[in-house]
Amino acid sequence: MKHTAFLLLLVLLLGITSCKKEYIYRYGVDDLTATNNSAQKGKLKTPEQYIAILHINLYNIPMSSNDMYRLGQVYQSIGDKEVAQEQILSNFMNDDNPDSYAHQKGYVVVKPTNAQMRSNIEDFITDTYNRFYLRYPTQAELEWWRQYLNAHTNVTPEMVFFSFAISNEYQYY
Amino acid sequence: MNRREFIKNAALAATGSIVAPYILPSGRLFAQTGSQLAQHVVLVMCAGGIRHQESIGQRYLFDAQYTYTEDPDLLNLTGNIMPNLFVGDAPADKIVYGSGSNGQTPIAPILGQPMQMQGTVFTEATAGSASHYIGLSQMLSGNLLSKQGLKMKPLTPTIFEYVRRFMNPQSEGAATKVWFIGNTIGNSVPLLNYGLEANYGAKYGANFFAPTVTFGEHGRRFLAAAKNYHPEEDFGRMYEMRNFLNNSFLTTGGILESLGNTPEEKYDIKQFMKKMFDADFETIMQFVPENPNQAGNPENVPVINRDVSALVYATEVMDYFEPTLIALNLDGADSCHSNFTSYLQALHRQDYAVGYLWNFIQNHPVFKDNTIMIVAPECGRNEFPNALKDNNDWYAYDHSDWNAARTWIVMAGPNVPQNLLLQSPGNNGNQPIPVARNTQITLTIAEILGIKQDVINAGFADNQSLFDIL
Repeated sequence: MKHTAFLLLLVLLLGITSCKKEYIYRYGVDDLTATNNSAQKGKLKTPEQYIAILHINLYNIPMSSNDMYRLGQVYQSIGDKEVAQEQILSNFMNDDNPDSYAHQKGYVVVKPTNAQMRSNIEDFITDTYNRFYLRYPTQAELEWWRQYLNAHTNVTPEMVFFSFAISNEYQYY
Repeated sequence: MNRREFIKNAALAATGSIVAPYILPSGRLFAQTGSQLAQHVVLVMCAGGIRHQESIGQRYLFDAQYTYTEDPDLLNLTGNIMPNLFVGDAPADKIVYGSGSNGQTPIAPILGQPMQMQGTVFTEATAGSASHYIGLSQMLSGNLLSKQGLKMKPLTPTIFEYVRRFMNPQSEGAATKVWFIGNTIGNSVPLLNYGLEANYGAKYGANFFAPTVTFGEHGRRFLAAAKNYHPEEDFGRMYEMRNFLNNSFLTTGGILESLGNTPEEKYDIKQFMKKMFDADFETIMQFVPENPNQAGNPENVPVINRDVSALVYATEVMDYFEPTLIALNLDGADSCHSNFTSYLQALHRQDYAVGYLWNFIQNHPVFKDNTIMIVAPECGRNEFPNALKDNNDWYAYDHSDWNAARTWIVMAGPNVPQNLLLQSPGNNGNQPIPVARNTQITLTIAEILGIKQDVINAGFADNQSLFDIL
């Protein structure tokens, strides 16, 4: 009798511990924008990379491979790369000139108006850092821009974009 | 700032540099250690690999073709197809190197007297290499560059860097006073505007254009309609913002190598580009004669090829910037790998281009009597042909044997002996002993510009100039 009770208790205990309810775990991922830290940019863009990224940053449209190859050749044909970049940018920005590459392609530089930029400088600068540098500005950078743009009312979004595109950080990835 | 203001400022800066000695980046007080033989130097690299035989040797089709084809029409068919450079009668028959239908009409020489009579000819020089890129690098660096790889910048400093480092950076050694013009961006030519040596490099490099690309169809498409930003109100602000961004990046990243053009010089370069785009090609080439009545003729061989075009643009650069040193690369002769007829046409056009340039110099108020021009191939071509034949059934030539190291050097201008022909002292076996080396060109330019001792002290270049062997 004692043995039977012990066996029953053992079976009961085994049943309780072996038959456990199965839980279904579901894992989610929070939205997070991945950005670069400038300290991690140590590789110089090739002329083709610079041109391709610039094209997308300005027009939100990729450049055709033929055009990229041709512009890459033109870029190589100018010794001073600063001059080359400024000339290419000056042409890209000239989207309302019928003779410009952009106008002939029907591309327009995606940029806010001056009033839009000045209505929320912090957002504009944050967007611009993300757009050109793939990172957020530091508080110190934001503060400098806020002061600079407030002090220079003739500076346009186009000029800000231009300065980013010819800066050293933009040459690297 | 407009061009006139820029020139005025540059002139003031130059004047100031005479009154107040300038401390060079190298730490020395004065710019030159020696007196200048001329204020300007033009180096024309008649590149692409030129056989001694068809150029200065004036052997035309006899050596290169009769020897291998035994075509009786080519027997003893010699003659000079570079009449602006050398003294000698043109070939009497089988004229294919000219312009017009099938190249039958030689281009009339520009110079009343060949450069051979106006200067000194080193008839037998050695390139020390049978390769285009190494040959060009050797001429520009004065070093044999035995460890130099292709597709990389010269391992030792170039003459551009010496000029910018050892001459006054506010005047003769300013960035826009030192130019390199290529007729192409192929063969790594754009890499030659400065070398990799520490303490030299980009900040002393030459400005560079490959005009057939920069101002050609694609350049016009991507550069011509550049927005005309105001140099101070627009660019001044954009540079301020850029400088802030660069200062932020400096703390964590690196910095791009720059040629060191000042904002005024960059503006001036852009104004020059605008001028080239505003003028149409025909206007720029207006002094190059073309055979009339050739429109629509499929057999027409035009005078203007890539070499002539690049050289005419180079004269525009000279007129605008009045450089202390300008080097030009012409490489049309490289067609010789597969087409001997085309190679002869390229030689004749390189000669025409040299004549055009010397004529330009002699008629320009800044350069006349104040410029020394040096002309030399970067390498030669083989003694024996390869197996390829062109439409005339003529063999083509590569460059890899001893004959491909044979070159010549022509030099003319103030302080250069006239009508002097330096011949080979004899043969070593069947190979002529050279009287000069292409690597001597670097120190020659340095000597002309009064910085010879600086370049010798730097310790990278051949320490003998062409003047040393006169």
